[in-house]
Amino acid sequence: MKKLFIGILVVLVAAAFYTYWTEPSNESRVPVVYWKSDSNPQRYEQIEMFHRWLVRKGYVTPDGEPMMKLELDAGGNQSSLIQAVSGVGGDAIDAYVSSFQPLGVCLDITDMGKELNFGEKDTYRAIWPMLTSEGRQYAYPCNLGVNTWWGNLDTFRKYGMEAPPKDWNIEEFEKYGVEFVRRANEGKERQDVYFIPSIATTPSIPQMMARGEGVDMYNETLTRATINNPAYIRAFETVLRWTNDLHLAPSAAEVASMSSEGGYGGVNMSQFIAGKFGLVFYGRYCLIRFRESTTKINFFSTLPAMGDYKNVMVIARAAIMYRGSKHPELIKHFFEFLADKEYNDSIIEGADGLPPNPKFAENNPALYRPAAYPNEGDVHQNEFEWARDYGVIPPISPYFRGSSFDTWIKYALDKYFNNRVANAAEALQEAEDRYNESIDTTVAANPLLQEAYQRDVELQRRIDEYKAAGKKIPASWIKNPFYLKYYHDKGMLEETE
Amino acid sequence: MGMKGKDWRNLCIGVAFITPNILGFLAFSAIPLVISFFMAFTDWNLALHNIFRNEPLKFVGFDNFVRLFGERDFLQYLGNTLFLMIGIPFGVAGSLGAALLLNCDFKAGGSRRVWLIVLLTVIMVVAVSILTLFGMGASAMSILIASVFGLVLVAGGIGGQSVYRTLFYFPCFTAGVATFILWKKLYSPENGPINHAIQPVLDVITPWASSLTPGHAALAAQVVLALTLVVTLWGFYRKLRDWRDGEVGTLSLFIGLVLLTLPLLLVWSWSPWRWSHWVFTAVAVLGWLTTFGVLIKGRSYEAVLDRGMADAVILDGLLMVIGFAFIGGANVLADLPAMAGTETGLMAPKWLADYYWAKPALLIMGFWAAIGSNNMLLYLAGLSGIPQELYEAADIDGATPFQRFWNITWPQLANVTFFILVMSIIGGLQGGFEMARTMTDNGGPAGATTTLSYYIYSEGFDTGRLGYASAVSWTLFAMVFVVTMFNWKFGNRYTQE
Repeated sequence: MKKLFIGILVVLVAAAFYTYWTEPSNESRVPVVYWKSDSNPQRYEQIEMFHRWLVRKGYVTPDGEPMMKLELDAGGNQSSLIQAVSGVGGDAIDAYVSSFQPLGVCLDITDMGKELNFGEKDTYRAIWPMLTSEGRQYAYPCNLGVNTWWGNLDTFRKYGMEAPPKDWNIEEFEKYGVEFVRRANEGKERQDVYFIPSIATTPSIPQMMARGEGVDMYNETLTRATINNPAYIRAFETVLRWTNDLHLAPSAAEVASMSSEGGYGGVNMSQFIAGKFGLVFYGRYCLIRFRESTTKINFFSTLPAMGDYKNVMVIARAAIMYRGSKHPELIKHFFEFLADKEYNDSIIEGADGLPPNPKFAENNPALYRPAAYPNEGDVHQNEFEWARDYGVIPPISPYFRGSSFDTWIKYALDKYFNNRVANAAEALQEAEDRYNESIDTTVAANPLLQEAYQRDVELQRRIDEYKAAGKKIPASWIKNPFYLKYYHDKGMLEETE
Repeated sequence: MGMKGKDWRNLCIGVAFITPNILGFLAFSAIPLVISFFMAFTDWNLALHNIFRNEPLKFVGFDNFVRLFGERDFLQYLGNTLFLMIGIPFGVAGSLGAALLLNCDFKAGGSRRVWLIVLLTVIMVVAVSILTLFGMGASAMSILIASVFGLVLVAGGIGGQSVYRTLFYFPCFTAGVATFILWKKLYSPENGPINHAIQPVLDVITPWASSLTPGHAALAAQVVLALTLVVTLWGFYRKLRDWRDGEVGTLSLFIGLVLLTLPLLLVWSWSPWRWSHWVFTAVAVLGWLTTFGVLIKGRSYEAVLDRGMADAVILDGLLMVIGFAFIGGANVLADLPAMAGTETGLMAPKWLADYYWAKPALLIMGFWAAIGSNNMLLYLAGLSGIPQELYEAADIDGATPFQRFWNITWPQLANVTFFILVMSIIGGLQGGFEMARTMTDNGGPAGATTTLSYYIYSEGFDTGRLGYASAVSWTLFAMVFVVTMFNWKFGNRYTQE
């Protein structure tokens, strides 16, 4: 028995050594750097492209080989965060600056960005606040996207309708939706075609509606949530009306009863392909999946219906440079690569969202009208232009910490939709309280935040005074990207103090 | 006498073999446990204390523990956890029932028993066919399930005990996530087999229910509510009688009466009828006054303080749950005419998609899992250990099957029951994480199915408040510890009673 145990021990030790020696860092003759991202097949192609790009740019060893080897380390946001605070994060990590920077795990790349052309001028103005903290750059986008309504022209024509207008208000949206649902379900015992998918879990739609009325989830300095207001209440009531009264969208129970569920894109994508939804709330990234389908869909896209102030939510998958990286001098070239032509062209070609550097998108026919996909119409151009012209990042406060920035607004929507457990005002008041309680807890627990918070609270007091007096507000006082853009567009901003 | 050289060598070899295990235990269990205990008394926050942030760690004493009892999330999720544990007594009863059935010798009855099972199968097939003809079996799933039942009956008739024992144990060795997904499908509001079975019944009830006047419904509901009083009064009477006869000790009397009193007090928030608030409170006060009167008067036979503890936990706990069920039933009955009078009539629950039904849905699933679990195996083992002489003596005395069960089987299985109950409570306190992740979109709708274990994860890794999350963990541990101590203290003694 002893011999057997010793034999097993020897095998295990040998296996451990084998595993250690076959690790990429031990096998490679050049330093290995790790990119923590999702396990999308496109990442592997992008890594190969990066190695070729290194050679082309002359970042090579004396033997002419790429000076580093990039390896994908696939993992979720949670594991990335835990590894990062433990000192074993990847060299570059796909992450939100708002979640990672407060932990002190991001390297300041402002100067590198300016030097290697992945700074402020090399990306979209709208996404910049998502990449920075206190005016310093900590990330650069791998790609970005804007969710808007996407439709299948053939589905509409099947019911004798044409594509809706690109820009519409709520009344027009409802009128169009009611007509679509009526025609699509005529003579049926039970409704099985909807204008849009369930919106009970998509808080960005009411959030955009509220922004359309000039109201955001946080105040100008991001120090307080201000959700319980008439604009938000109206937005909540509207989306509930779409579900319960007009039946434009299925209820949660109806979604749970839909036959398809799993797979990339979930129930919405499969139901859309099957013609059960007139519109879906997607960005350009969805084409990765749609292009795999044998069914060729004739796409069109429209802006979300809202009030006077047009806006869309732009969001990026951005990479941060890890503070614990052993190779910051090498990994900076990866960021340079993200802003360069090859990579941006690959994003355009692969439909993996919008390219991070707008100069490769602007008036680029490969993006605006890809020759191989005439059925995709002008959806690409729309998305790029809407991101550029109307894009604002989602409401994110540096003083709030939670599983996600929309945790409690989702909760409020959930509560409001569910058997009307609460009316819109009550649900929003609870969400507002919870955001504010979380802000108080976060600030109280973190002395590093307290000074900045007090400063911002004081600024907010002054902003409120200026607003009450009808005076223009100095731009430098405003931390909320939405209000910065809104006040600018409305001429309410004093650009220089 | 000291150890010889050979003994030392053997000791070293033995230690060498268990060292990997000990190291693993130290690294992944013991040391983290000690650290987490330490963390619970500090302000450990990932934003301040990680490999890159070395802010001084502050000892905050019991602040984290004090704070958690004031946090609405903690109280709500503790409530959810306790609610899901209501099903434990039913689960224990179900596993006992299953064990009793599986303990029957199916072959002993000879061909007569087999024919009986075949006959039952035929009846089931005919019943399903009739139901299908009348529209209930609109889903193939209903027919499939019924057919599987029929097959099981036939297989059991042929294979006997071992077939049933294997089938009943299925829930235990089926992977949790697979089971959860299966149940999610069963609960599908419109296509799920559960609602396909319930809806036709509700359709029959609807005309009758809508013809009820609100007055009649309220009257019937209050009669059901009054049954809570009957159950509680009987519980008080039984408890005081047993105390007087020396069957239960004073401590167990108090614990039992506290459990019986809970439904009487909760009518304040659960019952809409004002009279019930006062009457139920008056009954509770009267019950306790009587108890003190009886205590002062003394009793005929003395008993140790904690005698009959399991009786208090199991039977009084069951009566408490029945009391809650009556109150809930009364509420449903009162609303019946209004629910039936709607355009759609009485509708089957939306289960996981509904704020109020999500918890009961999980409770029912837990009940199913508990029946065919290790609890059933423990009962089977316990049943095989009951001396047959006791049954023979009972037969000679002319005992009925129920008397055999109540006076022999139940007391003889008391130690097993107590152990199962305690382990179920511990499991219940720690449970809910996988269900929240898999079935209810991270504990939704609106936090209705979030339990403490999920809360710990979320606080620790979403908000980064590791000190606070550790405090919640140790509070949970304290609860589990109390239950374990309870088992240790009273479990064995109850066996002897």
